Amino acid sequence: MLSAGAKPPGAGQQQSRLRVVELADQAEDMDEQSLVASARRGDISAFNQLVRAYQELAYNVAYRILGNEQRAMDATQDGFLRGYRAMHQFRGGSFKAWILRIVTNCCYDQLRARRRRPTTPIDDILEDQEHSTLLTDPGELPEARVERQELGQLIQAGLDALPDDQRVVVVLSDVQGMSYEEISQVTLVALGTVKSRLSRGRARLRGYLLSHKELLPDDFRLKGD
Amino acid sequence: MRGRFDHRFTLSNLSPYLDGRLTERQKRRLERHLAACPACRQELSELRGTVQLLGQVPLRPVPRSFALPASVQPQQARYRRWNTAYSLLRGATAAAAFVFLLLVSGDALLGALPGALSSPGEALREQAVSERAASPAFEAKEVARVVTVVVEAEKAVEEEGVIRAAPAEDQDAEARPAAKEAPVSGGSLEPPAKGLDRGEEPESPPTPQPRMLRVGTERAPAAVGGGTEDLAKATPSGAPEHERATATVGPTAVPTTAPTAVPSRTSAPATPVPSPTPARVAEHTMEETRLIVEPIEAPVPLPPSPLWGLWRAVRVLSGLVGGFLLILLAGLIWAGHKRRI
Repeated sequence: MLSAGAKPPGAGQQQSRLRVVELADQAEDMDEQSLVASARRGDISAFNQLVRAYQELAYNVAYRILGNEQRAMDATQDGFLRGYRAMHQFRGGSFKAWILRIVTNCCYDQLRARRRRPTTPIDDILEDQEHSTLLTDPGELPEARVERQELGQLIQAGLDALPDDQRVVVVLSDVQGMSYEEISQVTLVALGTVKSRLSRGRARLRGYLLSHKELLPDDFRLKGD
Repeated sequence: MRGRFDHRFTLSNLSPYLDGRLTERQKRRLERHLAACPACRQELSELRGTVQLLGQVPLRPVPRSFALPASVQPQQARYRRWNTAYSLLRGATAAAAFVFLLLVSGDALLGALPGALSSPGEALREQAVSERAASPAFEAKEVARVVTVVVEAEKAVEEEGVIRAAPAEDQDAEARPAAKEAPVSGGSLEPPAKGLDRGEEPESPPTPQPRMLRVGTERAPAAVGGGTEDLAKATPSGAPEHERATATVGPTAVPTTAPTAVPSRTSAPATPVPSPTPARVAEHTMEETRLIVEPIEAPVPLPPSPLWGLWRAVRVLSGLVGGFLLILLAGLIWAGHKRRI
């Protein structure tokens, strides 16, 4: 079964488990390669298997970039549709980076369209994204839930305040856990540019969060170690 | 100084330090500074907290499936055809641009070659000029032609208000028409040079016009009943008329103004002026008439330069290819918009 951008195992894992995971990754890669080959020939069912494997990752990236559920859904759907049409142009390499690049480009299109025609859809006003029932944990205390939701809103507001290019890099790196090289493949910029955008984005976000100290958790280190 | 550099280096590299993206040397330098700088340590701690918070952002579940319906399957084939056509169009545009550049370069090179631009008409004229220049008869004719040009220029000057000198017995008769020609309006008259009433000669302004005798101007004020005050000043009441009639003057600066002929107090002419006498003017007029009548021999036609035909063909081709290139570019832009991912 394909995984949606799962991080490799950290330190401390046993050697045998590492080997199992490595073999599983290889099997997944082979499955993915065969699916990609079929999709390039026009097999839509093979492509839909790839969609199911990467849709959660793609949707979350789109959501964190756009900050709106409806726009994120539109960008994700548009991205997969464009990816299917352009499958014959995929020349190998990381399919994950390739499909995320298409979805990110769709997000940029949405951002440009929003800047050209600034509107506030009614859904943005009525729907509180972080209060979605999908995120509710039944065992969670009400106070904790409110704090978590407020923190989520604060983080999303901080991300929305970043320039587009810095926001994309911060989301891919710190929210999705991608490496500098993967981010470079998705955004088609040099490693040095990824490093500088990430550094500036994090510094800005830090400043934004510190300006709302009261909403930060107690374990957020405000003093030196 | 070194401490300031280390401080700046640390602040700008905290983010890659957190990600383990520094070299060993850079990492040692940064950690050495961190040990001595509480501000940088606090900055690092806050940055680490920010990254940790972002990592704790929950993964949102997918609200619906994004799988594609079967109806989009034909779109891939259609898009593949568009893509092929776009690639061919792009190649054709590149080739047309290359050919166009070659043609333009060839045009410029051929144009720079001597004799390459001689069209049949130009070759004709060039050879006629060279042949005529070599013949002695042509030289004489050239001189006469130059004289003709000079005489015509003199005539033009006359028409603008300079009074032609006439023989002595006709001076009176000519003075009246000359006076009529002279502008009587004070506004159009050029004021005389300073010191005029003291008999000094006016300064001669530079003029390209040929010099002429303008004796008749002295009579203008008398003929029209006074003329301008300046001219009245310039004409001393005691000076004999014949002296004024024979005085020669320098050239005037502006032909449109009345001649500022000023007699000197002495009876001798102020400055000898190499101007044609009335007799010489008459001679020129006759010669002018004679010279204009003689026709120029027609030269023998020559074949055009061989390069001229090639250059002309290159120019025509450049225009055609340039137009074709514009059409291809327009198609490329349109197709690129249609196939855009």
